[in-house]
Amino acid sequence: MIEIRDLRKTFYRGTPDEIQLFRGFSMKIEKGDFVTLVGSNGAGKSTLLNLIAGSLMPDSGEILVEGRDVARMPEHKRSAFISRVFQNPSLGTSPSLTIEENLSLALNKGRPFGLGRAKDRRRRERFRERLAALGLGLENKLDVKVGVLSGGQRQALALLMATEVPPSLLLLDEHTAALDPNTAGVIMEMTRRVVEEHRITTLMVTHNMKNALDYGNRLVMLHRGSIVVDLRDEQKRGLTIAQLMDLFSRTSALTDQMVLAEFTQI
Amino acid sequence: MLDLVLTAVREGLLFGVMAAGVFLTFRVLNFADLTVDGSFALGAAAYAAVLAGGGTAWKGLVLALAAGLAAGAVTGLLHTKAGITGLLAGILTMIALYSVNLRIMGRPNIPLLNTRGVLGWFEPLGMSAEASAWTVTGLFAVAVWGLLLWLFQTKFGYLLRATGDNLQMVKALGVNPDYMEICGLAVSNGLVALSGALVAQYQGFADVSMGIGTIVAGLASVIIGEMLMGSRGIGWLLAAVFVGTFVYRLSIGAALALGFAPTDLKLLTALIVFAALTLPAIRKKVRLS
Ligand SMILES: Nc1ncnc2c1ncn2[C@@H]1O[C@H](COP(=O)(O)OP(=O)(O)OP(=O)(O)O)[C@@H](O)[C@H]1O
Ligand SMILES: [Mg+2]
Repeated sequence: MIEIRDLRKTFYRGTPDEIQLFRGFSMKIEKGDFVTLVGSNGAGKSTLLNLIAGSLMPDSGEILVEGRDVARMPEHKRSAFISRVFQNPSLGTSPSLTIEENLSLALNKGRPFGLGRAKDRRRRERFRERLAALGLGLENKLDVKVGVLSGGQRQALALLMATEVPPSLLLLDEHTAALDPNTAGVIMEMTRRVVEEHRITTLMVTHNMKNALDYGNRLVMLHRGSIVVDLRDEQKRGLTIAQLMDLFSRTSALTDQMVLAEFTQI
Repeated sequence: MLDLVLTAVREGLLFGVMAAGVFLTFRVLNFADLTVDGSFALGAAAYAAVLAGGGTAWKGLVLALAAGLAAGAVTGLLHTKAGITGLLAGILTMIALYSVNLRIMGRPNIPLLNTRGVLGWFEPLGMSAEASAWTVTGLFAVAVWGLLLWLFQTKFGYLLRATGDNLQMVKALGVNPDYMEICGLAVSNGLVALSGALVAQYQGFADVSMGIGTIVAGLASVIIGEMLMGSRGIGWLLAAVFVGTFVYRLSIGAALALGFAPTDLKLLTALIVFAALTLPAIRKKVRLS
């Protein structure tokens, strides 16, 4: 389970540009939940993910991952149990290494990278199977450098690498936004499959309302650093795109004070 | 003529150890590390100081290697912990090493002429001085090549290569990229210092200014090697570094034979690197049009 308690984060504190983004933000994510996170530009979605992953440090507050407060742990230590896939496919893979080399690195995640031999014949077969399951033809490209792959192929590989060792929490930040609609669909289906296969607790940011409704068991809408809509299971399933769009436009017009007052009823 | 080539082969092997170090930072870590100008002379200084004090060549080499490792680590710390840009971090260490090297040597120049040192290792086995020097030189080059080849097949080696590519991914794998960078710079400068010690013995003296231009010579060797040999796996690339060093030393030797003054060599080297850096781009343009 992931629990965020009283999280605070202000950018440019004490300057005219000060942005008080999170002002006591709290949220609980049950084990195995697949949460889709929506909200307008600047709502704080990426910042929230950065705070959870450790690439940004909060001013105060707790981030409990399976009972342990990680809010002050350096990013590379958190990655032992928190995985991330970014919008930019290049961030998840190493272009001058081959697919096999990338995957064998991912398999060793969170463990020491010592002077043992990195390649292993038996593993090669396992990689081949995992890649074949994607249906992108990557299984025949194990020795190809990742730098020559397309964005979609790279993103598929990045997702595979992020889940090769199943994490306690998977963070996806618009991870299909840079892909063509067809490839985006393939990656989304792949996401669903790996998440279900390992029952990975997942937090996915998306601007695609259809994806936000079709995937996951809980939908959260963020506005100016606050949760304004939080629907799960039947409530979420009953929601239509039209309704969601309506909620979206109504929140966008809200000021901070109105946010809580208006939406506590929903 | 044959003499010219043989000298270039031998120097290719000796300086190739340095170029392998430059390859590690420049190509693998993507880091233009100017420390090498200082660490090359540092290796020579440490080695010569030990021998001048009556120590063994072994001890001299080990100390040279250790000093180089430390120098690289300092540049790594300046870059990662103090947040100084890579180029400037290297320059700072390089400049500081100039004073350090003078301290180590106690004077600007230590002659090594009355000892065969490391190059004479096989003389007790009945080899001639010449044969022993060739054997030692060859062994060091092969050992460094083999060691790096092995290193690049390990998990650590994979991660080192990823560090030059994508720091975010290194973090995602649970490793502090600062640590990887410091390690890579240390190993690189260790090799450069080792090469400096060998070269000092080869030329018969250690000099405080012998490191000047090492980085450019190293870059020239790496780039020429790539141009001539292309890329067919990491073992091939490493071998190409030695071939590139040989070709570079050969062109230097040829320039001297043609009557250029030794003081013109730095300008020539800069021109060679310029040509090597721009040729691939020009060739591409010509082919495209
Ligand atoms: N590192 C940072 N330094 C300063 N300000 C930041 C930083 N990161 C985010 N912000 C600010 O915080 C606010 C929220 O940004 P964030 O990127 O989290 O929004 P988002 O919900 O992900 O938006 P989008 O949908 O456009 O990706 C913005 O006003 C942004 O300028
Ligand atoms: Mg964002």
